[in-house]
Amino acid sequence: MSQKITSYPGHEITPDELKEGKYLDVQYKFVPRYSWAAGVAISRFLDELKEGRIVARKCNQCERILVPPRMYCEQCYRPTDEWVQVKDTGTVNTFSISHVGTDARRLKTPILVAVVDLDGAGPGMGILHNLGEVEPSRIRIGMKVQAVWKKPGERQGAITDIRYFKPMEV
Amino acid sequence: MKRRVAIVGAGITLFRRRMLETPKELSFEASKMALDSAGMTLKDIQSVVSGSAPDAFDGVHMKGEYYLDGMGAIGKPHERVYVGGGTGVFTPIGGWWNVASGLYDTCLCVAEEKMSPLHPHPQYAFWSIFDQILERPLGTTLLWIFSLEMRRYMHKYGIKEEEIAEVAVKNKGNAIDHPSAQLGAKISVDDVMRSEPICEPVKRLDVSPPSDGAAAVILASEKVAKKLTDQPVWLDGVGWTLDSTHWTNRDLAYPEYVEKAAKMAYKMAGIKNPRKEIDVAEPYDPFDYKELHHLEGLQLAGKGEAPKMTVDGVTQRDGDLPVCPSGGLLGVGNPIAAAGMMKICEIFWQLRGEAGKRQVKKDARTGLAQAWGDLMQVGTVAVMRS
Amino acid sequence: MPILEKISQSSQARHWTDSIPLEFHYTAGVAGEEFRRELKKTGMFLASECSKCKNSYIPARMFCPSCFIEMKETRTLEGPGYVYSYTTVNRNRTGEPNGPVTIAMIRFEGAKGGIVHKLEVSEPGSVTFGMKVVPILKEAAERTGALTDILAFRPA
Repeated sequence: MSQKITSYPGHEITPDELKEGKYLDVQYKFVPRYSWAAGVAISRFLDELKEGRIVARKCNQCERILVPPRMYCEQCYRPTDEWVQVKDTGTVNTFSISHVGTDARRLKTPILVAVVDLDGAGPGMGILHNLGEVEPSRIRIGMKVQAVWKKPGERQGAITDIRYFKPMEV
Repeated sequence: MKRRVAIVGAGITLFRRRMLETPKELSFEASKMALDSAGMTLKDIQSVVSGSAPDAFDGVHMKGEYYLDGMGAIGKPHERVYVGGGTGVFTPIGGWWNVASGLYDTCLCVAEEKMSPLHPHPQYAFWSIFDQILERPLGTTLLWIFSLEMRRYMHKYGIKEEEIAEVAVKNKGNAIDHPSAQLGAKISVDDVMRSEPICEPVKRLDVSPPSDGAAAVILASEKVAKKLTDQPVWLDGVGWTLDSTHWTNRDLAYPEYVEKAAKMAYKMAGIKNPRKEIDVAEPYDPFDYKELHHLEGLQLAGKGEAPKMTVDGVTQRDGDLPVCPSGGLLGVGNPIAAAGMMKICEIFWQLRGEAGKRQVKKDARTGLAQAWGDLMQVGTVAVMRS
Repeated sequence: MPILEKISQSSQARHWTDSIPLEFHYTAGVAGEEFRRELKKTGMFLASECSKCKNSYIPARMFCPSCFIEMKETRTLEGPGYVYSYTTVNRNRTGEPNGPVTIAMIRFEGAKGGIVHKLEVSEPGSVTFGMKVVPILKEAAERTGALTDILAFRPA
């Protein structure tokens, strides 16, 4: 049928037409605000971050140490059993250098982001965070990194209490 | 006891960065084209299944309820389904239930997307895909998950960016022959490698654009299909699987959820050796490396072997396993939900020999369309036969 | 099996506050553009007519919802509209006192559909069902085609 049809429906608005304001443009701005409940597991996680510690939950059945922590193991489908502290060092699992911000605008300084597999957690248990104090071209998968924390008085109980991860001094 | 379901008609609008049409009008254009192509009118349609991405894109709350008159769904049973980018293939799966169960004989499935209303850029709505407490404060953008996944995939199998760029060259070139295509163009691997880095290793020509567009197919039971056409395309296998949003705890180099969805569809369709039995495939390609990632998940290539297949020309239109003969998302465009439906329409036309300049060389009898979405979570697969 | 560990003090329950600012630019659509151009140029309302069932729809639409075909014919509506229903509102969207403002659903003889807009009345109680109304329009030079080109409707 596609070769029998001669015209495909649709009216495009070209970038030039957009600029010249050829079509009616009705604008609506609003800012929904949210207050999300952190939940049982993450509430404790954030409390511990404020103290400069990273905690995880252990599932005694599959023996995985889960971070970010959760009150149920999604594989065994049962409640997790105990709180465990994990180290604030880890290995870079994958990384990227981002030149665009949240709204797709180009950034002057690129953001370095990585998935860091934490030491002491189960295999492949990573968290998303930024990298810092490192030349972008020197970042490698498998690189050992350690967390750089905010000063105790500055911490709020947020993921940003860790400023970033930097290469571990050898 | 389930019945056999056929696709009897398909329609698609242009895919462009900005369209004048409202969501109702876009849906109407695609639905009407599908009805006309099948020789049916709205009275013949018993139920409607629609798919569209979250309301945050076109800023209309409850958009399933909003655009339904453009799909002729007033006064009819209508469901809206959504699994992120997987919606385009999930919509006909939703329609499949309607007919296979025996509840209805015909079902109109429409996927519509209008991303242009969100300013400054549609990508902004994706910011809310990340965990609000543990990830958003870091300054996330959607591109992060793709670039992190691409890096891991390249690292695990030793794949070079040039090999991945071949996919962008192939798909954008294929799209020149697609009438709805937004970005059909003849480019080279060099062009891709020199395009500006957005989120390394992802570069501008590795990415598909945001678009407005709609596409539709009509499903019918065997009895009705045989009356309407002597070339029904059977929807013989469907599969879908999701994984968790704890994506940092997963192996990013291999899409396990796509494998599970594919196995579900293959089992239903009675396919034992996918690489031999599938004649033409349309995996989801929002980024060029994703086509390779998904080919491996779909069991159409061994782990880490999809790049070699591409470089060797196996996936060209005249190759042994043509992949994305339509031009894929990279060439035709990426209106989130409608993109997957575009792939379903493409396989429909390929299996009937109606794809014109895009027709693959080999005699295609069995085709596959796959879509993917959310926070690297969902695989939806459909196997079709002529 | 219940989740064994619970939060015992409410101060342990943390929450995270943030906002998601959104900005939308809407197009009127293919039919909406024609409606808008007519309103801007002449101040008249454009309705679409279905060649099959002969129904007219206001505002202009691309397709007839019952026959499901494209409607290519349009006509401007002559004469006043009438009040189909109305209400009086005393608060604005965020709940602050505002008004009283009378809002009416205005229909037109011979066409399906209608327009919802403000109604200027001397007294809130003086609105009647079926009351004939006409639009108060901005000056032609100020009109853009948006529905706000009509300041309000008033009794004819």
